Amino acid sequence: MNSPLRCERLSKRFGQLLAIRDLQFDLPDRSIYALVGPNGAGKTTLIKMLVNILRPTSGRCVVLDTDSRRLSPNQFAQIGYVSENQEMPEWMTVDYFLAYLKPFYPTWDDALAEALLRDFQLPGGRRLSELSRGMKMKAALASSLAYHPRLIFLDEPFSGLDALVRQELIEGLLERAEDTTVLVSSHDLADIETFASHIGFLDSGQLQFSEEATTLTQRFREIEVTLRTPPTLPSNWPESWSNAQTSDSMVRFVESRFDSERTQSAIAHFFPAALHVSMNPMPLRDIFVALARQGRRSALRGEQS
Amino acid sequence: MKQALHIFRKDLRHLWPRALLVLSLLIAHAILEVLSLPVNVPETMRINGMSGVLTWLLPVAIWSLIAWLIFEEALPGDRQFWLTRPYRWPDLLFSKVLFVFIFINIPVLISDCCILAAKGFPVFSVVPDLLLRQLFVTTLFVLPFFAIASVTTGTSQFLLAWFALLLALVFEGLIVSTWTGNTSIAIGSGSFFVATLAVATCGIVIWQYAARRTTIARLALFAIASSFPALGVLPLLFSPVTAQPRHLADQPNVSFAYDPDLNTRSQSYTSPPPGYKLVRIPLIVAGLPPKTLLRGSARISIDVGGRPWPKPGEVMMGTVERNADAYWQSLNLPVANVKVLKNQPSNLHATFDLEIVSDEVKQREPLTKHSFFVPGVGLCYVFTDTPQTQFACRAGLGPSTETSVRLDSNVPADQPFMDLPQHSVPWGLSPITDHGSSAFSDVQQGSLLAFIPRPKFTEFQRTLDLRNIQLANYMLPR
Repeated sequence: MNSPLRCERLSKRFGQLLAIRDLQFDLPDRSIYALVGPNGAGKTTLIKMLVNILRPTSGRCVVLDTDSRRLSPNQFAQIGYVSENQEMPEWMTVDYFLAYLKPFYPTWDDALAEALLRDFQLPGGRRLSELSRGMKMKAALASSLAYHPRLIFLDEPFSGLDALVRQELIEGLLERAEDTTVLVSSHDLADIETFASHIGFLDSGQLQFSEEATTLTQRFREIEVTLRTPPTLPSNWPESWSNAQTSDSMVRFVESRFDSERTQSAIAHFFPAALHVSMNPMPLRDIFVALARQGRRSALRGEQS
Repeated sequence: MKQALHIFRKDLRHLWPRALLVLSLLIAHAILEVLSLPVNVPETMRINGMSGVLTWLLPVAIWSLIAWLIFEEALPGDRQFWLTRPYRWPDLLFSKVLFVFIFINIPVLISDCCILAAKGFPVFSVVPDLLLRQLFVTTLFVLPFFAIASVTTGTSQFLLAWFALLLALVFEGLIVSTWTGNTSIAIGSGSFFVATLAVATCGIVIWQYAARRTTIARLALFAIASSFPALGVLPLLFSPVTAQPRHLADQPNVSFAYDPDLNTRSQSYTSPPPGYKLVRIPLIVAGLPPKTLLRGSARISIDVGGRPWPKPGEVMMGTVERNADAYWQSLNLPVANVKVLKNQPSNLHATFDLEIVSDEVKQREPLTKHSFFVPGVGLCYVFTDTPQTQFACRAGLGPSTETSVRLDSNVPADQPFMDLPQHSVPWGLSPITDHGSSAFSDVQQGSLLAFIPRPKFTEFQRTLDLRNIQLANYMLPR
């Protein structure tokens, strides 16, 4: 099956600010793609371009085989969109909100809508304006799942929600969106690392990497090298080593292209007097933090030069 | 269509209290219009006052309803829930148009019919005028606010844009009226203005719904507001003031000439405005059909010692008036010019646009308290239980005739005190038009109001020259 979403050299400029630059990526069908990156990285801008709320400055995205700038009601009937700062028709009750949306979607599933209301414990007779933030997000998600969308965009859906609501949303999503491709953005990888199948890291409008979560965890290691004497960091060490920290007799850094043999031989080359070397797998959250730090340092170096 | 009706039902569910408010105000306005009278006497003062308040309140309620309706699915911005839902823009726009049609246009039409019927004016015979009024109401009360709401995101932005456009309109109106000397030119240049405004605002609304390119739509709206002076001035290019003289067939049977007899003196005349002197030159007119009147205007130039006045490119206008059985050419000259012109020998050249109109009294009514219907004018009222006797008329829709009103006990008896112009279809929220009222003191017993319709029989043009005259001999007051 075709990729439901493909972007080619996508850029977006707001005046002097280049918010998205030359972005290129595919979304595998039925994947749960986590788009992570620090605040201001361009995640929301990217998603808004994907659903034709914003127009790209250059490049293009193909969403459900249609240029995102030409998305029509036919495509929107297969797309779900939930955003943390979406303006909802606050005067509507939850029941009326769903009843109002139903005729727009030929694939609307009444039974699924009811199940979502029940599972999310949404009070049908309550106005949207009277709902808590978490409840509103649940209502928005329910209204975007009830028609079995082929593609769903979630823009920071968990931001500011307590752990329980977050878990309920995730469970609701995973249970009801088996045949759906999901793109979920977050500035906190902890929100999504448990269920994302693919991860893209966006920083300063550039996609640093985009790959399967499993390969990502395989290629990152936190390396600790214990030495006899206080270490001095070599100036020409590998590019894939970053976030180096030194203490009295220890060097700690992150290897982003881990390969057992190659990494060990590189360590032996740069630290011939090493007493002990440990290579520990990293949780996604630590990988994200390391990458964010690295990105900031690179940006700083760029500014200084 | 199905989607449009679905969105309409949603809007109705949310906005019915506001729509009900508009309908209530419209009903109240209609009732007060029926009860009110075109004169301010104690018994009508309160009703007229309330009607005046509603005349302001009702448009505000209508504009608010339009704004709320459009903001249900606000077009600018990137956070609205509907942007990523399968809305079809033609259906969305149609749902809004349908709402406006049902809750503004149709109620205004029904209100028009009720007001006209209650006042005794014909309704079914004026359907084209009723429809034309709908076009005016839509163009002036609906479309501009529909367009503003479609490029703004909320009430505060809407109000701000509305005030900005209003200020622009007033400012530009001032510029235009200073330039042209016509105070009503900025908004009152008739069908050209209405047609341009309708097409432009429709274009913006459709463009914004189809493409949601708010910046361009806002610029277009600003451009329209900026072009109000042009819209106001353009029709002037085609008005009689600056147009080339019309070449009309002459009336060989009518003799029309200056009267060289300086002894012919005007018995009464209308005083010139401050800063002007009145020049009245007697005319000899003969050969007019019975019960008709000659009237018209003249483009005048004066040659004073070889120097033309006014300067080339400027136009000086005079009028042809009748007083008793004598005709006069009247001309108001600025006092500053009079000093230069009055004692020098001058040659006067005038090109007259003349028309022969009826001068037959068709209806007489006693000047006692009552109301009566005058064909071509409307419903007229006389109030006598006030310090002064008051007279005023109110017109409905349909054919209208310019009519002069004369008080038969007046001296001189044949001088009309009021000319009721031929009225056009009103563009406000009421289908009836009040004609200027008049008040009389010292009304003699048995005085009668005489109504003289002025249908035009024919138009023609004449050119006259008067050589070697001294304007001082024709100036009033002497």
